[in-house]
Amino acid sequence: MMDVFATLSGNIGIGLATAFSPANLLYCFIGVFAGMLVGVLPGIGAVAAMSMLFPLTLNLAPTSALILLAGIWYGTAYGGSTAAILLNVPGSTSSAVACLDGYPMAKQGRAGIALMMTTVGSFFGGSVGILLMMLFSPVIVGYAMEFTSAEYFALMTLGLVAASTVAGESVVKSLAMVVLGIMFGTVGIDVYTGGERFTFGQASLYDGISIAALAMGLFGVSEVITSIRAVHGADIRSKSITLRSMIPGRDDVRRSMMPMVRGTAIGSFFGALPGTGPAIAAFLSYAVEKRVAREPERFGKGAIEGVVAPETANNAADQTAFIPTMTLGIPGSATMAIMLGALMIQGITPGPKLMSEHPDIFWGLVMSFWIGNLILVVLNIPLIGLWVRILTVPYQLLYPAILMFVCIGVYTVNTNTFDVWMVVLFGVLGYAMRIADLPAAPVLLGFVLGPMMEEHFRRTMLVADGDFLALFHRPVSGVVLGLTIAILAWGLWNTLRLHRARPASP
Amino acid sequence: MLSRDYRDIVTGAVLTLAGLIYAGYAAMKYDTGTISEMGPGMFPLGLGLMLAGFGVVIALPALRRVGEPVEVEWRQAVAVVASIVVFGLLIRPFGLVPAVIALTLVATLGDDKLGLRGALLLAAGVTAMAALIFVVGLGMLIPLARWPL
Repeated sequence: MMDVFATLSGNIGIGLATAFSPANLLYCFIGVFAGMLVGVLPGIGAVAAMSMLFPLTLNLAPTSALILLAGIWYGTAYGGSTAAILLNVPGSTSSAVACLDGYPMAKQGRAGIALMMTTVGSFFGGSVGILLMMLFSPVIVGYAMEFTSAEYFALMTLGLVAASTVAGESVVKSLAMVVLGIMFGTVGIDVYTGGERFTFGQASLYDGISIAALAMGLFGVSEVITSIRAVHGADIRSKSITLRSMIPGRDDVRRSMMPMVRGTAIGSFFGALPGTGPAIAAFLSYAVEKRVAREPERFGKGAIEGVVAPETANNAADQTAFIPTMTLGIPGSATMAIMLGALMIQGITPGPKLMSEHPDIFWGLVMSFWIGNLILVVLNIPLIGLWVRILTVPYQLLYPAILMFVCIGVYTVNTNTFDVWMVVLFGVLGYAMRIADLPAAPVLLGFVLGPMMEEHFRRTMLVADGDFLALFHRPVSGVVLGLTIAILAWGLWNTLRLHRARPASP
Repeated sequence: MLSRDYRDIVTGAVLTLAGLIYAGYAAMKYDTGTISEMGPGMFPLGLGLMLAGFGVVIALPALRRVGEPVEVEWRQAVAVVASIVVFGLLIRPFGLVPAVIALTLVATLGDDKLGLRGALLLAAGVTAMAALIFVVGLGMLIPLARWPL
């Protein structure tokens, strides 16, 4: 036991040294600031923002790149709640549920208290999430060291199936998009034979499709196209929020305690589970609060529990989402896929060896989470005035600038116009997918996981001499694949039920 | 309301076609090998067939259900895509400033809230921002402007 703590404190030392380097402090600050901004602004999600800044991170050290991207990710949860409470505008999907009770609170003149309590809750949830990551990651890595290709293949399949089944409306459409993403991942050189695949003689495709071009086209460009008409500059009449108006009463504090604890538990669990994530955690914790409340009729009319619990949950989930990504190399969401992509493009293979081979990356990132969350607590309240003003900038002035970032960003990756044409291609595809009601996130997940899945699948079949059932022979892979099949069956059954509810043609 | 869910029918058909083309190309161009020793073509072949299958599953139930008409924002889509194309065409021969000015002007065509004056002002602002952030701030080696003749 003493050993465990000795190693942990040693690692924390490494992490603190890395995270507190002036450069990393700066990137952490830039990341969380950009994250808050993205969270406040409707029409740009965390995925789009991360893919826009992705090319810029290529010139950074791997740790700095991750710290910056991670900051955007968990920063959005803080910014998202601000927009939800003040303006009834969910800046990010995981903050949509905060509108339900946050905006009524604002109309009652209790916006300050709502903002203060969500900030406290976010910090609490985030902190517990970070602690869980610090404690459980080494344990998971310990098990993962024993994993063979069969286990990896099984876990990745679970991640992909869970991601398409739990979040999306149509399981079949999500699964089809996962497969499409894996197909994009096959472009390039085959790792086993060294032969090219689907490159059509283009030298620029030998290293595969650029994840930056894919993500920016699918998320950034298509989001801009749909936002031009949909997003209007917010009409703001909220008076400045004074520090005095933020001091919660004893009743508010008492009512918020248990929701924070429950929100943290729900968020931590669903964050770590591949395929779920902060949005689902937030919705579930709202539902749970309504369930356990003594007066559920207060919900939707400004119940503080209904704001604090989901905001706590989404922050806890933001942090624990890193556990499978960093320990197993299996991202559970599109944002985590970008984090993984950032690592891989730097020549670092994520997986159980990451913690031992690059302790500075892992522990530096974890320690930067503390710093980032502290920065967010300190900045969140004073910056409210700035966010309110930024929200009044009309979208027609914003989107050309966003497109400029996309274009220059992707062009500078390789100083190559080829990647710009790829953005055009994926932008058109992304918009076509929106029209066809096909989700984009599974494409990105499949794209990142596909090559690894193929490698592990081929290795498993090589060892087992082509026996598919070998995947079920080892206990972990057997159980995981069994679970995958169960989730799949449940999802398909749900889709079927949904379709039956719709009217048939006469 | 449409008599059939044409959106899902077309989506499913396109996915099936794409899957079949991809699988066919993989099977013809690359060695598939055996299950225990897979060649580069085997995995793609499987993927293509899976996508084709999913396409069928998406299209079939849509034949028996009513659908909503889809709305395509042509103007916005064309302006945004064209602005990126224009950037791609201009950045190499002419440099950053002309490329970003052209990108901004084409992009503003997606929305008629700005007049010509507003569009020009915005182009100037976005270009200045691009030059300051990428060339001055991040020190990227992109020529600001050049004349290729």
